Amino acid sequence: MTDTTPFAPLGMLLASAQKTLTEWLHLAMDQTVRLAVTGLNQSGKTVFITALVHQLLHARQDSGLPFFECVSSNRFAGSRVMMQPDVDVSAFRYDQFIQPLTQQRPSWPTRTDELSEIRLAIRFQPTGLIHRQLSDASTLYLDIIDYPGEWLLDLPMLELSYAEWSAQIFQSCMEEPRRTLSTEWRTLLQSMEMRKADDALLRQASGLYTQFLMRCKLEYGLSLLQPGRFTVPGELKGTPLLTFCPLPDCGEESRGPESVYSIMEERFNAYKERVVYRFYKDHFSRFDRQIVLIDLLKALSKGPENFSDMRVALESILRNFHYGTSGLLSRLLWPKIDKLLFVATKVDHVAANQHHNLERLLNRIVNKPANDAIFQGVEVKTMALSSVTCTRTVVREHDGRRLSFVQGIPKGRNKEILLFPGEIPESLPRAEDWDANRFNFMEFEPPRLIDPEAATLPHIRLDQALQFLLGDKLS
Amino acid sequence: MDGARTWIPPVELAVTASPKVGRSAAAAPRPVVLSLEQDGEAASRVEPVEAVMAAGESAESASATATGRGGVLTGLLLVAILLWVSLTVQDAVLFLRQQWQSHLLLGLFFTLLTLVLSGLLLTLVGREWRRFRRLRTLTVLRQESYRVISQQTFGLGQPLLRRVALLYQEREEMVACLESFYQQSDDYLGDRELLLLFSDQVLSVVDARAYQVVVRHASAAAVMTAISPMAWLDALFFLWRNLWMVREIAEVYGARPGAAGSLVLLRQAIRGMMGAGLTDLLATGVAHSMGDSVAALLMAKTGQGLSNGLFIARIGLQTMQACRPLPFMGEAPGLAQIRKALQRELGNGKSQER
Repeated sequence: MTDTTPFAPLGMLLASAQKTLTEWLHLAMDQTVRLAVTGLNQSGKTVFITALVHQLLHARQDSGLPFFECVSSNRFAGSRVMMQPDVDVSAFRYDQFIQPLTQQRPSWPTRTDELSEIRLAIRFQPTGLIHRQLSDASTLYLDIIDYPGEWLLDLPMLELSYAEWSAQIFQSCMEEPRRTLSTEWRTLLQSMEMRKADDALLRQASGLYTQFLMRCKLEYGLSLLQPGRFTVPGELKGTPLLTFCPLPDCGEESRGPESVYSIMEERFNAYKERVVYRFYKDHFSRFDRQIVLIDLLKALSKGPENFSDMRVALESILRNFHYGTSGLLSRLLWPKIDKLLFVATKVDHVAANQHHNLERLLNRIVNKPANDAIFQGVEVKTMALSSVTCTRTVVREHDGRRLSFVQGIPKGRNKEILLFPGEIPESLPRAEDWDANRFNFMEFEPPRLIDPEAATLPHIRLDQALQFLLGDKLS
Repeated sequence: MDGARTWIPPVELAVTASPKVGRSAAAAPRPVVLSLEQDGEAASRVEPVEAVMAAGESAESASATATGRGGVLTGLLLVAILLWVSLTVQDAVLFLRQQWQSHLLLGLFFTLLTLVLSGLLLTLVGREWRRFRRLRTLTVLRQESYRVISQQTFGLGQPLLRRVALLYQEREEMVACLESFYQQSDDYLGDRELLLLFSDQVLSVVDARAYQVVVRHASAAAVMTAISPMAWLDALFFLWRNLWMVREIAEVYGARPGAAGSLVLLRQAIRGMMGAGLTDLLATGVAHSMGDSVAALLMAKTGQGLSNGLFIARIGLQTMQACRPLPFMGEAPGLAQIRKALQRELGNGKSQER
């Protein structure tokens, strides 16, 4: 109706004002939580979010979430997927992801490489005196934002100039395995004519640099790879924004307006402004709660370089978090992250008695960034969990020793095996103790549910994660 | 150093044709370790607490020696008792001999009487001793769970909780929550998590009952002291109230303390209030006493009653901590609600003594 009247623009303005007002009201009433889920390098993000939504949609008092207080105390009054608030972000397709997991012959959902979002409305009976007087049931809107962890690695670039950033990259290329992997790209740079930029050559240089990053990621599982969009380009693939690479310091004379250096620098700055800063402003700075997923088992099996790389990556990411306790006024103006959860995922790949060691190991790795966050008033917790459990622990005698095996169907096979994947050390092994045969972690097929329609997916400690992330908002 | 491997290499085995192999983790029967034990004849025949004691025998004897450090005072007491007993025995023997000498019938009568008397006395002491040991069981269980919690172990929690569950499994209202606990305790849970879950799902029911006992006694004491005119009557009533409450709380938690046990518990509670409870006293007490003094100004007797009620309540809360087989892992129950209940009670001006 409003479309046909001359006051249409006014109506739209009012509508949008009303929408904003409602959103602000929700924020002020503490009814929205923006939960950012991120992880480095295939740490099981999509499965985690899918499982989280699945558990929330199927939550009942006896549905296996004993540590999620709102559900176990029977105050939970249902939840559903809602229309997402941001129209310019693609939707997290829960229905598509849950389908392969719950079919007769289950399979893992395909991995995603873009920013996506899903909104859940959770109804619950509040415990607070005032809240209870106002209404018998409150609603909490939970926005879960999924974004590639690789993009996080761009955040430290915001503070660096092109020259500083280049110097950092070349510094890291001094050490193995980057040294060998980057040889081809560095050789090209040495032979390049720097004074006059040639588009084809620029593309070749950036192509080789991208290739180097991809090899670091795929062959060695390294995490600290900048710029993040080079490995996960999303919609920017092939644009000039992604056609640059670090350059060595080449002196004033070869930095003319037409030179390779100046063009690369220009693109670097454009990348910072148009990609990194925009992501930071539009999404990152609006998160309330953050969960960082880490595949420790993979890092453990890859060796010490991988481990230290991951630690550096984590530290540099977490330096950029906008932490702080969120009071009412500041929540309206600039919501801040006040809870941070580090999670070692896929913990079902080892026996239950190893979980504690895994958690200790995780504690050691995130010690420094977690400490910084705690100092800024953020509540930090570490946990070893499994979004979807594919194995169970079986104790067997083997070679005169009682060992805890995991029993499950390894990925790509169709028969169950018993696997003792090696013992998780309590602390980081020294480089010389890091034997290639020490660990044998395997991926497993998802569990086959007896009654996929009614049953909920088995998990490990997902309820404790929910309690930490949402417990206070659901009280 | 010498190149010896300190770790166990990975092993992969084919699943042997074991009787039942679940196809998925969800389908696999959850290892309900605790319920297996419930059918055991030990549990069904022996009185619950005794079964627990049998399970915790070794630990108990260990800690019994640990607490047997009474020092000079205990030694003195023991010698005094021994002296008293031997004097009584000697007296009795002399007396009986005299009676036998004077007349056969007299001797027979007094001997019979003495035998009956000492028999009764021995039964009484024996029962008191047994009950006292039952009370110790709770302490032993709590000490063990402290260890499990602080060391973050794996695999010790279930046997421990099995013993705790024996205390309550015959109560009707506990069947449902024990059942739900067994159902929810997944096999991946570490000991600390298991204890937390048990505390939350099972012991919270017991806590609520114990808390009710505390509130009831505290409010009754507040009203009675407030209306009684005689100081000595107040004091007597106060002591009797305390002992009664302590005993009831211990019963709620699964022990049946005799007089001696109750006294020990009371002493423990008061000591707890002086020591660990001091911070609590400082934190809540200042605010409360401020409130009390205002109340006292308005109505001296009511103020005194309120103070007495709160004192009893504190003892009650301490007793709860001393009787609970697992330590409070979250927030221990506090005075806030009791205070409200007391004020309501005094405000109404009528006793709800039951």
